[in-house]
Amino acid sequence: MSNAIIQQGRFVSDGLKKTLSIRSDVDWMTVYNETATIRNDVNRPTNFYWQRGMAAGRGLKVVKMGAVAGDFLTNGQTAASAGFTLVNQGSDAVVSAGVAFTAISNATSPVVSTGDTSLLQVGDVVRLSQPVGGFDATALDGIDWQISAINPNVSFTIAGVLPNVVGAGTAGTWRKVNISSIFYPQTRYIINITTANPLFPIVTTSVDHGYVVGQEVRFHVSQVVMGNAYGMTQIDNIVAPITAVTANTFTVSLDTTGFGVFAFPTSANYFLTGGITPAYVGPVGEDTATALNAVPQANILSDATVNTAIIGMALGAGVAAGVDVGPAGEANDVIYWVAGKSFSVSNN
Amino acid sequence: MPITTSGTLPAPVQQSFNQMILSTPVPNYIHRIPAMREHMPANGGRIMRFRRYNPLNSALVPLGNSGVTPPSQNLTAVDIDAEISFYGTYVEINEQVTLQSQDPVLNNASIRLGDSLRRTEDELTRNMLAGTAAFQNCVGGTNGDTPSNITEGSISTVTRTLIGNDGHMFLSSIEGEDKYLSSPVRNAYFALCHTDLTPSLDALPNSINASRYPNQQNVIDSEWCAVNNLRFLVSSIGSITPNSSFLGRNIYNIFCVAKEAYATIEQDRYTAQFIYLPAQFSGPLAQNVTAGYKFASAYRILNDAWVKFIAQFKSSLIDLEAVA
Repeated sequence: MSNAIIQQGRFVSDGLKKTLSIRSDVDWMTVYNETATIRNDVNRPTNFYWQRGMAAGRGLKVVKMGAVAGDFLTNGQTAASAGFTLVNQGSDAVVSAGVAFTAISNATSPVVSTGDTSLLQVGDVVRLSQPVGGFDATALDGIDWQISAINPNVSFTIAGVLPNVVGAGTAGTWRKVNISSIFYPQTRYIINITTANPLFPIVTTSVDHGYVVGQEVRFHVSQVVMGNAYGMTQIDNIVAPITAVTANTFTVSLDTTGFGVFAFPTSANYFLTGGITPAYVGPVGEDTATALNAVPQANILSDATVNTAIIGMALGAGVAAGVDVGPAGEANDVIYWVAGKSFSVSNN
Repeated sequence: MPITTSGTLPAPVQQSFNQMILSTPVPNYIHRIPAMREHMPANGGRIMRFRRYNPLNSALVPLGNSGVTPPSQNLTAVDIDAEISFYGTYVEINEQVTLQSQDPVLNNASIRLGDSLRRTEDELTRNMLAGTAAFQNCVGGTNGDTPSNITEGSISTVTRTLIGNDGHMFLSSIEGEDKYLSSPVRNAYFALCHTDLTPSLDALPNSINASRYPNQQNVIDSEWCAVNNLRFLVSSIGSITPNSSFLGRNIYNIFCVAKEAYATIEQDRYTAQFIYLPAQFSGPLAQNVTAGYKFASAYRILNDAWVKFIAQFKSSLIDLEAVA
């Protein structure tokens, strides 16, 4: 096919990065922000364009200047990583190149100080590591963490709230995780288990888990010889059905009366024991009875293992409001897009 | 008297083509070996559902002579689902290629497509295991990282877990024979891992290389060694989790598998198909042929207690692999 439009669509932005599945792969793409076009806000990008050969994460934009309808337009380039990025989850690198960070705060929502956040958008997942001898904030290493906030080129904040601080960290490396697994459902790291209602404990994971009501999960919470890491080791190897979910928490039906208090290991725990397997939860299957009895009734097949890999395009949300909004738009923007293929591509 | 040399009279055709096509590297496909093979019936929907009943408690208390009926037990089950997905790829070859090339291009294309199909199946199985299986970090090694390099302690721990979960071993023991340097081999679970781990496996005290098995009859080509109750199959496309150790190094995953731990499900009437379309299908001038394959399959762990992978760094030498 030559210069064919292969796919088009519309979505309402949630203010975050948007990944579109375009199975045939694309050579060019145009995005129209209908909300920005018809509103009379100052400095709002209205159109975006990308074609094969442009740098990953970039694209061209048309910005409507001024607060009056009919004000002039100006052209520009999207900020790095805030534009168009081709996605092929069958072959893309699992993690990005390493980027240095200089410190990790000693907080229950740790803040990682780094001079370069250009690769990141809110909701992205990162993996931390620290050099030999850097046994500070070690408990956070090797685990995938979702980002809840970014201070451009200053820091990012880890989402989720740890039950306790783990120690401040110094220098290390973070990597953006592009895809942890193409299969759903996945094992997920546990960062907290609260028992306000001991019959229905609430589990917090380090990234959005994707689990649904009715799924059964098995807990893996290691025994630790020294220190009181994890605390709630009584829950190890127990299977329980999920009764409620949010993006990064889920509730299970399990009597935890008499169980210890869950505690996240401190870096000292890791140093003294020579290493721990982090607490995590793994999918087991479906408790069909729980799913059918849920209100509203859950889909009893939603636990099915399925390959979720896509080929398509990731639209950046942008690095700031206003003129730096990306093709994914701001929250509630109505976005239209068109994608196509060319007969041949000649980039010299 | 002038001498005619190749400088003045060069050969009209400078090269000869050797008809022997060189081998294309093909990895060992190990991840489907321990899998159960199931079939999705045609017209049977898109999801295969399995069911496993949970065990009932034993009845240790005598009924006595009262004639009173004791309390019953609840029969419960867990359902396990896997959704079929469709896969395929193809090559499109212009007629001038087959016209001008000295080697049978279409034949070689079909061979490469066949290899791509089997590699796809193997990698999908591997990726499913890596994303959904239970795991434990190697500890107690000497590389100063978490996870550490593999130790017999970690092997014993995972073996204890599988046995403790009543997982059945795949492989029977191999009795000792009076052969120099051979050694009896225990009954074993399968362990699937990357070829990079072979030096680490050889360094373990109780490692028995496959060449030293007393009986070579049932040794698979991809088998490397036995360590206690694990027999290791190795592949260059074994599972790696990049930059995931505490020091940012790659982690190698060893899948330790009991019987009936996981399954691959093929779709009836949509198993592997080779599809060749002659040039007449490509357009009015019939310039291009296509050759491809497609298949439908699903992958699922059937009992999460019967498969566990050991996450480890490959070597005890800290400086062997630079952090990327």
